[in-house]
Amino acid sequence: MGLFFRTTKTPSNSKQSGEKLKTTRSVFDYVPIGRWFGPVISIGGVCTALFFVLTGRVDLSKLDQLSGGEAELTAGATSIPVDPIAISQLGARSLETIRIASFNIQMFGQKKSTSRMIPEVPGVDILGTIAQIVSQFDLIAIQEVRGGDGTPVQRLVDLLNASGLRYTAVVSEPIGRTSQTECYAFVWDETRIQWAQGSAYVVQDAADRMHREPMVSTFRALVDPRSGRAPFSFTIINAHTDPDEVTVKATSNEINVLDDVFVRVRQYEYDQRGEEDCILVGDLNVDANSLQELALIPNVFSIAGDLKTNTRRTATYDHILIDREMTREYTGRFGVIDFERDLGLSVEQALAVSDHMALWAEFSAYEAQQPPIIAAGPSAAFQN
Amino acid sequence: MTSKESSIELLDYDNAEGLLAALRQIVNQDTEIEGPVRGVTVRCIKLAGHSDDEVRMWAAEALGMKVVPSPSEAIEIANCLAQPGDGEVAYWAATMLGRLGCDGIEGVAALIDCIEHSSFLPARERSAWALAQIGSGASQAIETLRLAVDENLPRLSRLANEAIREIERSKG
Repeated sequence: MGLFFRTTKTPSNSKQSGEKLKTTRSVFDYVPIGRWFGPVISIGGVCTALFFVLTGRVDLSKLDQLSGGEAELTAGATSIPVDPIAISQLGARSLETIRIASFNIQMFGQKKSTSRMIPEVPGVDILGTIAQIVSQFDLIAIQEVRGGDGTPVQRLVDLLNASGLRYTAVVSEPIGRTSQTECYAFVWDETRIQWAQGSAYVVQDAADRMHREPMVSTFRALVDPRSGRAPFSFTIINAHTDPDEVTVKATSNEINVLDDVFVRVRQYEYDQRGEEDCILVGDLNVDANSLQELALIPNVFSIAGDLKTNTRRTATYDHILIDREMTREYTGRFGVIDFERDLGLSVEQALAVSDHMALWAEFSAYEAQQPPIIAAGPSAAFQN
Repeated sequence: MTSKESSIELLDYDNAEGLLAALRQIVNQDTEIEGPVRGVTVRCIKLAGHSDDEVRMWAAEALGMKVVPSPSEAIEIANCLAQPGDGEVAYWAATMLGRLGCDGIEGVAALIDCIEHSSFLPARERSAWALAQIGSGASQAIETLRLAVDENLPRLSRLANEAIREIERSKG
């Protein structure tokens, strides 16, 4: 059985693309549609007004074979006027560490991304609160982006940047079996995180074992080059399982597919980029006791453990999983942004933002010492 | 714990605003304290095929996480599956019958019919999945499932295969 990945490759004229992107301050790379298309090219019919993308595939059973087209990136959606948000840091960010978060922004679509205030739930600035939460992190993996064209994420980034920050994002194609598709997104602070250009892809699942195939991308911390130390680089897998497909009784349990995804992505990224650190994040719809085969990967564990991650603080759905031996950059600090405790919202106001809290973990901004490596892989193409 | 039955009345609203308010109420229900959302399954399934996109989205969200079907609703759910029309409605009806487990036996005929005749692949796949959840009570579906195994559709084939195994295993 082979899991396939679909990839977005580095643009043929990256300088040109970079210039286009620079003008908007938002790098919106649309990870392309590939589910039903062949390995050469698929131009998504959903969002071509915003993004031009060609895609390729990687058959992980033949890791040295890469086929695919090249992508031309264009700027994101047209900017909309936004009022800045008030940024109140929950804690000062350190130059020595980075914070990575996973946030299921329930049904983050047209309505939520255009709502600052809603009459149904007075007193809460919906998009402003989301932006406030995102602004606490250097990199945030988002699930449940609706609408198919990445516009909600573009609005979020616009709001953050209108507030004096420098965030950008990469958004996946719409994924799902029914009309209720979702996109994944990675949003990051450009002053602290660097994206490995062209590293974003959606896992290709030819056997259709997952409702929403995970999105993958590679990043590294931006550090002072004078330090003489290597920045922490890592591949992050963003997943959102189907709750009907993670129950113990389900024979096609998605949790038991995710372990294959983790192992194969890690191997692929090592072979392609020499990347050793792999982090799996997302709304897995199970608690730490139900991680099944994911928990059987040697040294892999859920940072969240039993920490409740839903807004009502009654259940654990979200996780950040790392290999404790490989990813020694993890500092041991983690938590959730509790809408009520940290942001002073009522339950109703909090639920208007999302039914999940943002789960986060802290990592060193520098690579930790690793055991000797026999052969290094090629360097990742990090975006300048 | 008590079940949330009060939403049934709210869901009788025909206007999108009222429906959205009711669906939000369901989605935001604290099931740990108030218990599972029951008694609204059929209405929510039908709303998954509503003409308003926002209503469809919230209905799917409610069905995805909160709505728990009751055995007494099985026949009506099966009727939703049997009615020709929106594939999303069939998809959620099959999902709810599967969630009923062995209590979904009233829906077996409709699930078989969906696998044989639906043009919406996700609904056919969910029907195969649902038959596996129902188990031994779905033994009449074996022949249909065998035919589905042979189709050149990886997920349907796999789920049908698993359903056959589960039905035969639960028969002992």
